[in-house]
This record gives sequence, C-alpha cells and structure tokens, in this order.
Amino acid sequence: MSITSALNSAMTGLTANARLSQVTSENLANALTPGYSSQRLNLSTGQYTPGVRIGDVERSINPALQSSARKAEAEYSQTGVYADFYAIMSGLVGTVDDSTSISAQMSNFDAALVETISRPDSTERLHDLSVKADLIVQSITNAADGLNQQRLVAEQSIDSQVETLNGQLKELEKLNARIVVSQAAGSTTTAMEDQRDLIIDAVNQAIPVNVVQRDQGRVALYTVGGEALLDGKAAELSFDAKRNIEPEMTQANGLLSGLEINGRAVDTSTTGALRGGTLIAQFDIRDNVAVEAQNDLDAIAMDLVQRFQDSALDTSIFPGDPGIFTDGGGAFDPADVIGLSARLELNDQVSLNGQAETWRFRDGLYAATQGEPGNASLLIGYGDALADSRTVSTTKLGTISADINTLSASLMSRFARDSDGANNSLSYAATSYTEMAQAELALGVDSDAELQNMMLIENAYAANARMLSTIDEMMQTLLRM
Amino acid sequence: MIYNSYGDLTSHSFLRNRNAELKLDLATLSQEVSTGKKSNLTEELGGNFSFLADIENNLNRIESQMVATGETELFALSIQDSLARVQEGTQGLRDNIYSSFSNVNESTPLQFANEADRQLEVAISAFNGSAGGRSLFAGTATSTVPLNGADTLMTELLGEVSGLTDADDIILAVKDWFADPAGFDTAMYNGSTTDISPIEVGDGEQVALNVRADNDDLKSALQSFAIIALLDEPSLGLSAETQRELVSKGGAELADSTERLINVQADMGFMEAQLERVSTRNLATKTALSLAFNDIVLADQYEVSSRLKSTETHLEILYTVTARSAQLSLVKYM
Repeated sequence: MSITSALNSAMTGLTANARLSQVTSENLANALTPGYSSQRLNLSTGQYTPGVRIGDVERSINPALQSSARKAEAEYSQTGVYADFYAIMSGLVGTVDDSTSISAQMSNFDAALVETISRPDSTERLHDLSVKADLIVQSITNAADGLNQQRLVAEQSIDSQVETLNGQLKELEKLNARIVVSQAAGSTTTAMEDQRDLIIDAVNQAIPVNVVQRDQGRVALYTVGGEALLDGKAAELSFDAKRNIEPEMTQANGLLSGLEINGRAVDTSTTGALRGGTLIAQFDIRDNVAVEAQNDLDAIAMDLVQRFQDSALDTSIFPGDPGIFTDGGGAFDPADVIGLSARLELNDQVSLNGQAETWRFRDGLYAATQGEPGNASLLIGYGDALADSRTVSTTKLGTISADINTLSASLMSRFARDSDGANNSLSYAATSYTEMAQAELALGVDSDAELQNMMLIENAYAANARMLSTIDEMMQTLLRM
Repeated sequence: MIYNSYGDLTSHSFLRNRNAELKLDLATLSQEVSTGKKSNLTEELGGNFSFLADIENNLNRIESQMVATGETELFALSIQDSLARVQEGTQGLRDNIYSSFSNVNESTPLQFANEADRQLEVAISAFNGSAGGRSLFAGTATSTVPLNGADTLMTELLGEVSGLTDADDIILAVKDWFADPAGFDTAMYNGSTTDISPIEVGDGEQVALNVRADNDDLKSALQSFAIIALLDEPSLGLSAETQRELVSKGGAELADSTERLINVQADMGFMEAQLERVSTRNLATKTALSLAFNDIVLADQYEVSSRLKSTETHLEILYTVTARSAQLSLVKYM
C-alpha cells in the first residue's frame, strides 16, 4: 500500500526536521557556552522502512587538536607559575634605577661611609651610617622573607591542587559510569561528554594527561610520564602540607612532604612521571628554584657579614664576636649559612634601635671608651673592606670575585634575567595556546551556518506537511467514492 | 560536499586578544612618554645590570665625595687662613725690628716685647682655631683645643731661663725647651699625636691635611715670639744690652720662622689646588656618568611618540572592525 508508506515517509520527514530544529536551537542557545562543542544530527535513509532514519547526535570535535591545545595550555600554566615567582623575586631584590634595591642600599652605605670619613666626629654622619647599614639589612631580610613566603605559597598551592585533583578525578570516575549507563539506555551523552572534557582540561593544567578511549564511551587518564590517574577507578593523591616553612626544610631531608599516589611515593622532580603542569612546577619552586634563590641571598649575606666580622679590620673584635652585620645578633658561623639572609641583623651596639652607640663605627665595635673623634682609620678600613675583591660561588650566580657593589648587582641581574627569561617563555606559550584555542573555537557554533540550516529545515518541514495534507486529500478522494 | 563553518567565538576571541594587546602596548607607551624612561630596562640590558648598577653606584659615591671635598676645602681654607695670620705676625715683627736697627732707643725693645706678647696670643689663638666644630691643628683629637694659653707658655719658659743673663744662653734654653718632648709638647700641646686621616675626595684621590700645632714649623713661630717676649720680664732683670741683643737675634729667628711658615703655607696651597682640581674633575665625571646613565635609561621620545600614534590608529581600526563584524549576521537579513 504505497499511499500509506508515503504517509509514513512524510511523517518521518516531519519528525526528523523537528529534531533538526531542536539540535539547531540547542547549538544557537549554547553559542557562548564555554567548552560547548557544536552538535550535528546524523540522518540516513531508512533501510527497512521508508523515510528518513534519525541517527545519534554527534559532537564536532577534533581529538588531535584537543590534545595539542591541552599540551599548550599545560605549558602555558606551568610557565606562568615560574614567571610569577621570578617577577616577585625580581621585585624583592630590586632592579636598576630603583632606589630600594639591595644594590642601591649597598651603594648608599658605601657613599655614607665616604661622608663619614670626611667628618668622623659628626654624630649625625655616624647615625646616618647606622641607618644605611640597617637599610641594607632590611632589604636583604625583606627579600629572604618574601622568598620564604613564596615557598609557603607553593606549599599551599600544592595542597589545594592535590585536593582539587582528587575531587576532579572522582567526578570523572562518576561521569564515566553515567555515560556508560546513558549509552546503554540509548539517550544522548553529549552534554556529559562536554562536561567531562572540561574537567579533563582542568586536570591537564595541573598534571598533563593523555586521554585513552575505553569501551562504552569511557575514558582513562594517564600522565605524560605514564602514571595512571584514572583507569576504571580514580587514583588517590596525598600530600601533607606544612603550615610553616623554614629555610633549612627540604623534601630531601624529609622535613617537607613529597607526593603519594594510592599510598605510593612518586617522583616530584621536573623529569618525573607527573611532569609538565602547575603541580610539578610548584614542587620545583618549593624544592629547587626557591632553594637556589635562598642560596644566592645567603651567599651575599655571608659575604657582607664576613667582610666586617674580621679582627684584623677592627681589633676590638675577638673571635666569637659578631661584626657590624650579625647572624641574629650573634657571631656568624660559616657552618651555618642556610637562612642567614633571613636572620641578618645589625649589631645591637650600633643599631639605632639598640644601644645606638654609633661612635663604635669609628672607634671599634667593642672599644672600652670613645677614642679621638677625628680618627677615621677604622672607617677607611670599612671602605676598603667593601671595595675588597672577594669570591662568592653559588650554582646560579657562578663564581664571582668582586667588590660588594658588583656582587649585589650580579644578584639583581640574576633575578631580572630569570624573570625576563620566564616572561619570554610565558609569552611564547601564550601565543601557541591562543592559536590552539582559536582553532578549537573555529569548530564551535557558527550562528550564520545554523540559521542557514534553519531556513532549509523550515522549508523541508513545510514540504513534508504539504505532503501530508496532499496524501490526506488523496485519501479523502478515495473515501468519498 | 564539504561544509565549512567558522565558530562565532573565534573572531570574537581574536578581536578581544588583539584589543588587549593593543591596550597593553598603549599603556606601556604612555608610561614611557610620560616618565621619559624606558619601561622595560631588563629587556633593554639583556638582564645584565652590572654596568648600569656600576654607573649608579659611582654617581652615588661622587655625590658623597663632593660633600667630602667641600668640607675638606673649607678645612684647608681655614688652616691656610690661620697660618696666614701667624705668618703676617712674624713677618711684620721681623720687618719692624729690621727697620728700627738704625735708631734703637731705650724704649724700643720694650715695644717689641709688647708686640711679641700680643702676637704670641694671636698665634696661639690661630693654632687653636676650628672649622665646622673641628679643631684645625689638633690631629685626630678634633674636639680638643690643642694649645694652652700664652700665660702657661711664658710661666714655663721663665722657669727654664731664670738666672740666665746672656742672650745666647736664653735663646738656647728656649729652643731646648721647645724641642724637648717633655717641654713644649707636654706643657702646651693637648691634641693628638696622630695625624688626621686622609680623606677620599675623588676616585683614588686622597688628601691629608696633617698640620698639627706640635709641628716644628708651627712651633718655631711661637718660639720666636716667646724669645722677644721674654726680654721685658721683670723677674729676669735683663740689662739693656742683653735686651737689644735679644731683639736683634729674635729678629733673625722671626725671619727663619717666616720662611718655615711660608713653606707650610705652600704645601697647604698645593693641597688646595689639588682639591680644586679634584672637585672640577668630580663635576665633570658626574656629568659624564649622568649622560651615560640617561643614554641607557631614557627612552627616545620621537620613537616612542610615533609608536604611540601608530598604536592609537591600530586600536581605532580594530574598534571599527569589531563594530562592523558584529553587524554582519544573517539574522538581520531574515
């Protein structure tokens, strides 16, 4: 009975067009939704029945592009962590043309010394020298405190990232299960897949992952280093955050926590299994980058202390007595360098916050009484001590033999250079990430195209409806006989 | 059939990023135009600050050295002034003695003795002079007045020469007392025996103003005045003959003292010239360093302004494009 099958075909046409208009309107509605991938309805000709067969709704995504974009995003997030760290460090140490940098304070002290040598009898000049010395101390301890704060921030960031990751992996595990169920029931899973992709994007920023498709629409996540984060069951990450970090605490000496996956310790170095994202970048800052920065600050602080803690320079200093610059008020012990920059203090004898006996700059720190006011020989000795070429050697600064001004300028250059380098990597990563993201967006909803489709759908729907009414008229004709 | 489509968000995202980039450029350039300084020195210097930091440090030092030079110049000037006062005294008295040899009468030696007494006071007060609260001739003991009064000097000397009647004997005794460390240096000098430390007035330039009141050349002037001042001391009861002899020999002593003071003044003058040269050089160095510093730090106003203008134009074009592309939608034509 061909008239009935014509009726059927027209009927499927109507349904299909109604469904198409639904997909189109869904696309238009989500045109601005982040992470939404535009949808397409698959249609085919009916094989066993006449008319059109409505297939499933398909997301237009490009897995290769998605994976490249994820890689670029992880790279961008990771370089951002380093760029932030170095920008803060460079700000703390100071740059040129900046009157508050460590280097500027050293230079001011040096200049104040020249003026004090001219008038060693002037209490104002000696007080000024004490103020300038205190400013050096403040600028160094300020940088050291800021650095320590950075380590603490890294520790807290690791802690919160681990917590978030655990939640996200659990969520992915649940979504996997729901997609399996929905697919079995034959309902559409595109919304859930979009949501899953968004969560994977977030995980990927902390730990770059490879997404492996499993049966029944499930996915598994492996880190680029091959560690399983989600395969059936979500992995459980654990990290024991410290509330307080002291300069000498490191992961190597066991005072800081490492990372465990399902109770098993994993390598948190930049070559480990979890490498490439913000999580390992924060570990790297806490365990290496900040520690190296600490070493450099300590080396400069040690050099400064040792230039003045010298009984050949000031004969009133005996072994065991601190010089002008002290280790927390006491004498500096070369065996105890770590964290010196944070403990640096101006000798209480000459500090204006302490005894304020600034004549001791002129007559010797531990002199019994004031000497002759015109005697600048010790002050000249201080000037010579500053200009002495001494050797400082650290991994990042290299080996430098220079006077104190050149040394502090090297320290400043080192952080500025690192900051500049990190910024360059960041802008490079940002460019490639933007490119990728735009390529992904190009696959998104195109409202012009959707509207064009809409007009076609409208026409086709009208045609099918016309078809129905014509068939109806034909049947009426038959019935009227 | 291939259907191309281009997501709405792509052009939106592109336009937004471009807008942000241009606005950032605009902010940087406006900062450079308004401050006149380059905004990213790190990039400019390739992260190596040692050169610029060295210039900054040298500028800093030179400023302090200029303060030190100024103070040292004042100190040297005051020393020169004091020396000149004493030297004028020795020279004046010497000239008076020489010119009065033809008509020596009874009262003249006494006039000379009075004048010598007065000049001794003047000389001691000159050597006790200070500049900016610092004693000029006390060595490192800048807070002490280096010499005791003329009375002390005369009392000590009277003890040394009492009983002597011969002019040569008296002169010898006076000279011995001045040369003896237990004599003048103990009884009269309160300053330090350490010279004032050399002062850094320029890079590698030091100036040592080490003239002390216990310097032999300075003491010589006091000694010459003292010899003549002794002749009218009633306790000595010197004969007119001896008094005349003391005047004439004292004149020779004054001539010698004048020579010696002139030498010290010449030394001091040499140092003043050195200070003058150093302060000129410091000024020149400061200017040169400031120029070098500005060369690196200051932005090229012409370049920055033209870039600012072009960024502005770009931004305007972008606004037009954004507005136009937003208008272009099929919806409007349906």
